[in-house]
Amino acid sequence: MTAPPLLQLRDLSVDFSTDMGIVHAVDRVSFDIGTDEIVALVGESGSGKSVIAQAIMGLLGVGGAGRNARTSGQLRFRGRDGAAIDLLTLDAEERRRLRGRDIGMVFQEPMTALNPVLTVGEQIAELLRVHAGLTRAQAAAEAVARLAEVGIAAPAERAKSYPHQMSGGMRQRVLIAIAMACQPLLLIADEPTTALDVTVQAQILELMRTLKRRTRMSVLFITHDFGIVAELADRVVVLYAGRMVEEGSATDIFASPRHPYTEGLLGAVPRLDLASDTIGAVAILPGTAPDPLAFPAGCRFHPRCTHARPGLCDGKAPAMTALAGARRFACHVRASA
Amino acid sequence: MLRYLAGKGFRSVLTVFAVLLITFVAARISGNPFQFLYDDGLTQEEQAALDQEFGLDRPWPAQFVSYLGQIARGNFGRSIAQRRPVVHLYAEAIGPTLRLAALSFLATVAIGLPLGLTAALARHSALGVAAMGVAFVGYAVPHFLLAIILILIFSFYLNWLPSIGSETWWHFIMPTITLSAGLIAAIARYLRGEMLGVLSQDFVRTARAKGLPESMVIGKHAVRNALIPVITVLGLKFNGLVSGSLIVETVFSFQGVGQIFIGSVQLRDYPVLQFGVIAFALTVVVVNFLVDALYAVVDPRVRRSG
Ligand SMILES: Nc1ncnc2c1ncn2[C@@H]1O[C@H](COP(=O)(O)OP(=O)(O)OP(=O)(O)O)[C@@H](O)[C@H]1O
Ligand SMILES: [Mg+2]
Repeated sequence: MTAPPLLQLRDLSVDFSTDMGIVHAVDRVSFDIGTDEIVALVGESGSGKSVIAQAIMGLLGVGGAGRNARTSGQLRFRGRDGAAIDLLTLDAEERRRLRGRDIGMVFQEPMTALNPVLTVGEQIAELLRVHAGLTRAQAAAEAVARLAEVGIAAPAERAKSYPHQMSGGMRQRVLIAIAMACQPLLLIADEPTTALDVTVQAQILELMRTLKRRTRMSVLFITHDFGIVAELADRVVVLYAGRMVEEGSATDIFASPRHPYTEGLLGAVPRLDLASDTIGAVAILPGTAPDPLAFPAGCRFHPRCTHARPGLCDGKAPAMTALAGARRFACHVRASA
Repeated sequence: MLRYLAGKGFRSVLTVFAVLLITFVAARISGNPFQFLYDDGLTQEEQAALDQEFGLDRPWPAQFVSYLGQIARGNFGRSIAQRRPVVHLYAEAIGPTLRLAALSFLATVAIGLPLGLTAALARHSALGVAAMGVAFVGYAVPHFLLAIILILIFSFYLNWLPSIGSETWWHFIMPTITLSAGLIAAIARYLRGEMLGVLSQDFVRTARAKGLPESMVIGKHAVRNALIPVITVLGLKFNGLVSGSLIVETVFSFQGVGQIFIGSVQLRDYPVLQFGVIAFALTVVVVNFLVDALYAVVDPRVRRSG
């Protein structure tokens, strides 16, 4: 993997101003997504995973949703021409043209993410007309081909179906077909299998793996399920309360997590091919996620951390400690150990 | 879908029948037409002769059965007051009424929908708030009051618009405003609410994530979904439009079917009155049918079920 990264997040921060105060939902997050790489973004509910996804997509502040958002930092994206641009400097129209074409996104809720009054064929075809300039007939034919590609049987008939005539798993396939329709450079999958039952979940993951292998696109896979991470990811970024706490290759993270929070998350995974002694002391995460309006000072994890040292962890925010093999973590205690 | 429509059709026929029966009896209880036509009084013999001529001498059930038999053959009888076929009376008057209905419907769609959309899309700006203010006023003011206010301003003080009759297009301006104001307001308010609901739905987010132009996200994805329940409301409100048009035609002295109908009530002109009731009821039924059919066209979820 010597090719330059597809996307570089640099000090990405997102603040929301609300009636109750400012929510620092994402705080100076920096990581890379390499070409042809699957990066898993992991963290508890409310840790800012979806906000990062929306920031990359440029969906914050579009059409009223997230009007209250302030985004700062850099999102250096290497386009099809090989030139890197900072997505945050583009205007709304330029960002729109990237969406769906160079960056595709699959969401968590397949039951509600499709328009109930349009055929699924049309919901794929319109995208091809807008981005690839296909004619109506070309786009319709292409939509059928895309449905076949995501493993939908009888795609020509299915293209004429409406979402309510399909199962959750099939709808998620359609959503993947939509996200992949223009062969994006980056696919963002925000918990795409959480709403599905286990067998369907496995099928969808298998499909994503296959498509990834075929197209060599990059994937940002958002999940809080370390079982999926183990199956899918090349690299892992762990997020806690809007901050990165650890980053590394999936192998390294599973073999020797450095941050106590990562240890805790791994401990919460039911069944893994890991010796239990590597998981460490934190078996279940004690406590609850912090209030986003009033994050703890210092390390945001310290009130829940069994290793926390008073006077150290509640003072300054820990800086990233870099290790060999592109590993980084942010912990006062482990950095000095 | 067919079964559903058939069931609905059957219920509609029953409704029209019931309405007709009630009208038939109520009209006869409330008085005899010849008392009103000849206010200096009739002799016993004259009254009996007239009753016989129009078949009013027979018992009510017999009258009703023979009336049903006649209308089944398309014969709605003659006006007692004017001694001309009922159908002719209405046919001559239908023009202004239809024109008023069409104008009011057009105004409702052409003003109500954009007003509601504006109110939803510009909800954070003064424009959106103003749109909602206009809609609220239209919603709160009853027909007759609005008519009187309009007449006072535009006929009495400004002398811009005629307040009586239906001869020119100018005559239609105030009646159309009066009749459609409530509908416009209702549709605008409803569409606004629906749009706000739809805009926060997942499929709108999907549409944006696809990189569709905002005009497509709104016009194609959001509006279509928001319009579905609005169609139902339009259908329901139509019933109010029918009765509202009676008031409006009377206030503005329209030479429309409203005048014929109201006149027939005053004179107890049974055949005219009965035809009016049947026609109004049928109109409501037909429109509700059309609304259902339209619903099935725009909402694929209805098409297969039901
Ligand atoms: N528009 C908004 N206005 C205010 N706060 C917001 C907004 N959007 C997100 N947040 C806040 O940002 C924080 C991160 O939310 P986010 O949706 O990214 O969490 P997540 O990691 O995706 O969680 P989950 O696993 O539940 O999906 C939360 O505290 C959330 O309340
Ligand atoms: Mg989320």
